[in-house]
Amino acid sequence: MLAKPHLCRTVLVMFAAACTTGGADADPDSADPVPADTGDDLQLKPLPEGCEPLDPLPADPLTLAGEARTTQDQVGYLIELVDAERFGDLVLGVGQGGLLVYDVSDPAAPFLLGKGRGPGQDRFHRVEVLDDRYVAVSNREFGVAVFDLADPSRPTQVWSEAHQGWEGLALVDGHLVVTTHDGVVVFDVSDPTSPESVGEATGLSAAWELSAPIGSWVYAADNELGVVPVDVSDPTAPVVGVPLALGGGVLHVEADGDTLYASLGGSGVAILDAAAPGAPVEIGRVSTGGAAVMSAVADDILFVVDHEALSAWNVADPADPRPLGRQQTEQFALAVAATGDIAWVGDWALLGGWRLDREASAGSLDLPGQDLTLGLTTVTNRGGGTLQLFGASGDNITVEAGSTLIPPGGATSLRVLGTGSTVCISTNDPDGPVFEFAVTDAGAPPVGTPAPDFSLLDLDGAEHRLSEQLGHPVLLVYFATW
Amino acid sequence: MYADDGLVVWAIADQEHDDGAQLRTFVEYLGLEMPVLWDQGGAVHSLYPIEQAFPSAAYPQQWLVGTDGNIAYVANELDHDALTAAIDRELAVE
Repeated sequence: MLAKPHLCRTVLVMFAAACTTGGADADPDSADPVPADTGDDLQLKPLPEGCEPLDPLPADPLTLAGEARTTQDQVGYLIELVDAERFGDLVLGVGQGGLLVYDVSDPAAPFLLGKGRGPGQDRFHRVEVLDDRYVAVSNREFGVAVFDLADPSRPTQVWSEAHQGWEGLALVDGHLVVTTHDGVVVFDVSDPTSPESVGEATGLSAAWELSAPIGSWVYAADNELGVVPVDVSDPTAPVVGVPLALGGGVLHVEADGDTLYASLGGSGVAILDAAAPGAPVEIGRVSTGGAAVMSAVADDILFVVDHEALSAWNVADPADPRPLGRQQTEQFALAVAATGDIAWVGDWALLGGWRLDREASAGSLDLPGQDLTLGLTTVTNRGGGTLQLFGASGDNITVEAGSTLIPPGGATSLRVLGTGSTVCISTNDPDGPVFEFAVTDAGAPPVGTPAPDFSLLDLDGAEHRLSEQLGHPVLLVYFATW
Repeated sequence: MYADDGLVVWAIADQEHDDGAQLRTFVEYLGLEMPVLWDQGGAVHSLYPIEQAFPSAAYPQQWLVGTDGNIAYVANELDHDALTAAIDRELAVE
């Protein structure tokens, strides 16, 4: 796979229109997108003028089954569903509103059934189902709590223990394992209303979350170490094993059979074989475009959320994942729980249920940003079918493409030329099929170039001008409240 | 912890919110002590076009402007070590 971009580059000079990285001769089923060649020897051809949609379009592999929109009145001023687990016909989310219980018995009409908060705790980070009545939740500032869902419309806190840094949760054979940032603590939860601490261990570095168990092992998603196996066969003496570094922070680990799916902050999902539970080895990887945050597996389908989008992969053979579909979500896809063919996505203030049609196959257009920049851009097909580019139209804008047929997982180059400000591109992606883009000038100011000066008022009305700080380093942290 | 060494930290709020009260609540919730600048018209957003710098366009984004007024470091994932290394380099220059 590594040699293919070079092969393609050579071929490109001779047969420009036929070649796309990851193209027909280059493993069309590959799930590993290859960056498009951006060299000057690219031969690009203008897309035909026009934005007429294809009729009929291929069936969309991921369609919205139903959604629940949380309002400020229901939950609070800021909601983030940062974890989700399924519990009968309920989906449990946690976030700024506390423990959020959604009734999804009718997937077309999910609704917020109840919410649980403890004293001083209006936000939780993780949730773990203990049995058919009790769930544990965590908050990295406040510690761990257990809620009784005997009446799921009124979750009631029955136990809590305050401790800073506790976050990741896993249930192993009647014991709740909790990450303590640099290690784990184990509680006997045979009586969920009064957990007892029975063991602890150190050896983790920046643990976010724990996987479900494989045998007596759980796997920590560690932002510094990677995936770290933890043996809980003796709950009074848990053992932190040897980390598997994956070239970046790991945000979440999903376990399914003997396979682990590690969401990587930088580069998709690493697929690990844990047949030897203390020494998992990487056997495959999928690239999602953005930073993978969380995954969920059900019936050989891997669902991944990456801030921007939900993607689905066939992992019947985990060493050879095949893309099935990708769907950009409305807000900020941070959490996913899978049930059969429906993926429930925590999408900031939305819980969205996306149904996968395993028989459908379509291309999915992915560009590096929301706008098109003048000059060269890479377009990637993140769908399970071939993506076709039919045409483009914009006042004083032309779009050239290295190829108009992009296989699943493949990519090609686009070049945007002209002086206009908007352009449309027509495709066979059922999520479009015609996409409208603003055209912007050449990107962000690169490192080493002068920082553009600006002046803004703060919330107290005081003016701050960047140029007045010359001589001091200034850290600008750009954030959003949504 | 860097404030005494000369580092200036500004939080810049996304321009898409026109509700100052919501922003204020958010800032109070987070307990932010640094100046929070409200990019209401999106002017700074257009000068620092984050979507083009980062494919995922995720927040928070960090731009470190060096003592010389040039951009010294850009990131949109909190990489603590890389960020502190960049800040240390600038403070050493200062």
